[in-house]
This record gives sequence, C-alpha cells and structure tokens, in this order.
Amino acid sequence: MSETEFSDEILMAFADGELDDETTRRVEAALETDDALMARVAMFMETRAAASEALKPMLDEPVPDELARKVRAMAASASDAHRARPVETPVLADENVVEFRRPADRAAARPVSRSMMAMAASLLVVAGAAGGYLLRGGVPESPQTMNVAGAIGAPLAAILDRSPSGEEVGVDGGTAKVRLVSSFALGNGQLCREYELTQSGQPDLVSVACRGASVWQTQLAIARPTSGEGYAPASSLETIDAYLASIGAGEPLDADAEKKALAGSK
Amino acid sequence: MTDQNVAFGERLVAFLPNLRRFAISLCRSRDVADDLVQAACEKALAGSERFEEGTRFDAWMFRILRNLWIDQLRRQKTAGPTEEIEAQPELAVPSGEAGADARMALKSVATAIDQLVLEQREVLLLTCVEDLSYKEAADVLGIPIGTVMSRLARARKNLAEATGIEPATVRSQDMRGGTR
Repeated sequence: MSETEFSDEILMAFADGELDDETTRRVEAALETDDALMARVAMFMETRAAASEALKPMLDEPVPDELARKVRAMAASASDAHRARPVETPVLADENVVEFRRPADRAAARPVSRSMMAMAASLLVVAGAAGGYLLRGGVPESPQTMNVAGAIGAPLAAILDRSPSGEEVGVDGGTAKVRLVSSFALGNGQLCREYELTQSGQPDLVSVACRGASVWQTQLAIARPTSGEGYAPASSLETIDAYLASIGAGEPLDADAEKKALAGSK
Repeated sequence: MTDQNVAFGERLVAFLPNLRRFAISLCRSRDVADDLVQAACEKALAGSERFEEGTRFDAWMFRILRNLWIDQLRRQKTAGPTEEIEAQPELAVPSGEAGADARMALKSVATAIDQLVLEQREVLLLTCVEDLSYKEAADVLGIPIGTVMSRLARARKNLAEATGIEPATVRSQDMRGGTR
C-alpha cells in the first residue's frame, strides 16, 4: 500500500492546501486507488472543519462592554499622550470613531470572513487550496465525473482555458454544466477564475481555480445544498468574496482583458 | 483630523471577538481571558507603530496575547506547579483496553479541543480555527514550521480520536505513535 509513503504531516498539508504542487500530484495519484489513504486525508479535513465549527459560536458572544470601553479609553489616552497637549477628548473621539470606523471594519473583515468560511465549511465542503475531496462523515465520495479537487482534470481545464465569463458550457453529455463567473488576476499576475459547477446528483459547487505553471488548481470550492431551498445561501457567496479579498484578487477582468489573459502563457 | 491611536483602538475593538475567542480557548477561563485580552490590547496600543501595515493584524495580535499568556504561565510556575505546560494525563492517547473504553465516551469537539495540551491546542486554534497558514502560525508561536506541522497533526489525531471523527480504518492502524 502506498500509504506508508506519506507521513501524517504530508497528508495534513494536502488537506490544508499547504502542500507543494509536486507532492500534491503524488498524493492525488495515490488517492485514486487507496481508500485508506483517503480516510487519513478525510480525518484531517474533518478535524479542521469540526474545530472551526465548534468554536464559531464564541465569535457571537457579546464582548463585555467594559472590555470594549477600556480598550477605547486606552486608545484615547494613548493618543492624548502622543499629542502631548490638552485634548477635547469627547468631541474629537466621537468624530474619530465615526471617521475611522470604516478602515477599522475593513481591517476586521478578515476575521469575520474566516468565520463565514467556517460556516460554509459546515454546509459541507471541500476545502483546500491544493486538494479537496468532498467529504461527509469520512466517507470518500465516488470519483466525480468532473473532478475539481486539486489539479483540475482536462475537460474542465479546457473550459477554464477557453470559455469567456458569462458563458455556460454543458459537459458530460449535458449531465453537468459549468458556468463561468469571472476572471481576475492576483497580485502576482496569476490568472484565476470563479465558476459554478452543476452536476446531477452532486451538490452545486462554487469554485475558484487559478492557473499554475501547467495546470488549473482549485483554490476553494464551496458546495451549496441543492435540495429544497433553491437559493444559494448568501454565506457561500460571501465566503467566496471574502476569500478573493484575502488572496488579493484584483477586479474582474473585462471581456477583452480576459481574452488576452486566457490566451496568455500558461 | 486623523488620530492613529483612536483608529487603532477601533480596529482592536472590532477584533475583540476573535481575540477573546483565542484567549478563552488558550487559558480556558473567561475571566482570565478578558484580563489577558485587555493586557494584550494595552501592549498593542503601546507598540502600535511596530505593526506593519500589509501584514496580518490578527496574527500580530495573537502573538502579543499568546506571549503574555506564556509569561503569565511561567510566573505561575515559579509559584507552584502548573498543569498547562505538562501534558494532562487524560490527554495521552489511550491504548489497548483502556483506550477502547475511553473511546466509547466520545466528547464534543469543543471539549476535546479544550483538553488538548497547550502546545497542540494553540497550534490548532491558529490554523484550523483562525485560518493562519503554517508559516503564520510558526511566526506567532516562534517555532519552526516543521514543529507546527507535527504538533498540528498530533492535535488533530487526538481530536479525531476523542470525538469519534476518525474513520475506523485509521483507528485500526497503529499510526498514532506517541502523543508527544
């Protein structure tokens, strides 16, 4: 069995999306045939989701007023000290609170978005920059026709390479649909695309993939429950937005820029 | 009128829920945690110019708070023994029959996290709960990435074991090794 080949740390890094491309490919290849290995990876994915989920309610606990008040007071007195002059504290502080709330909120956006990610993870998911298998209860899913985990398979990669955003492409004889949402560049120039994948018998996925040296890699894939509600929970889209912000995604490319970028070197 | 400190204070206030969560999980007491959070904020304000814009504010705050906590533990240690630094006996992964019994009493995830030793708990909190990368967690904790990874892997195996997440196939293998 190939599983002895991979240490816990490697499988964990795979589950967390922190593994290098080369090793990721090796793990993925081994996972195709090795259920025990899959179970080990699943354990790491599940513990992450479970830990995140378990401590999520703590973020909703009201912060004791006194604590917030003391922090504000310390900040105000620190600024007094810095300016070393008498301050008309109340008025000034109030003004500044208003004035600065925005940047402060933005700075705090990441922590909040992480909690949203946790929420999305609990909806069910896949996570993982480098790899990601749809897991529920530790039972590996049967191989999907459209594999979005880790390095993306050829059929889907071809669509990501060519189809403009806004387009919907049927695959697998119409049993699956890929809807291209947008293209954008990261700070380092890497091209990424957001798309939605609908497959019969599978939850819909909203996914972000980036084009590496030779392959498209899934960065994030969020499943949303399909049954019943019929609408996407806002949290999954917020999670995507939060994620995009966190990786420094630029504005979505317009049609021309996208065309150029897609044609660019891979 | 710009006022850096007030702005910084608001930034801190906005971050309090996360900071408190980390503190509570770290020291397992809300009262102690709130004092710790306050002390960390005070320290952060005093050194706010040392925070580099563009780096992770959360990681920076976690590091400040965690260092304060470690200091506090060390001080306590000189006053008497503390269980924090040591592995708690019930946390050792049980083996054999005792293990089988222990596994029957599955714990809630939150409880299981709470019962991890500090060095495993903190690394789990930073990566899996607060979404820091291994590298960022290593910076917060002042340890090499390899150490983050080995502690984190052990933490998650222990967590899986305690809560019953772990798939049977894994449990049956002797992959666990020691807990430390």
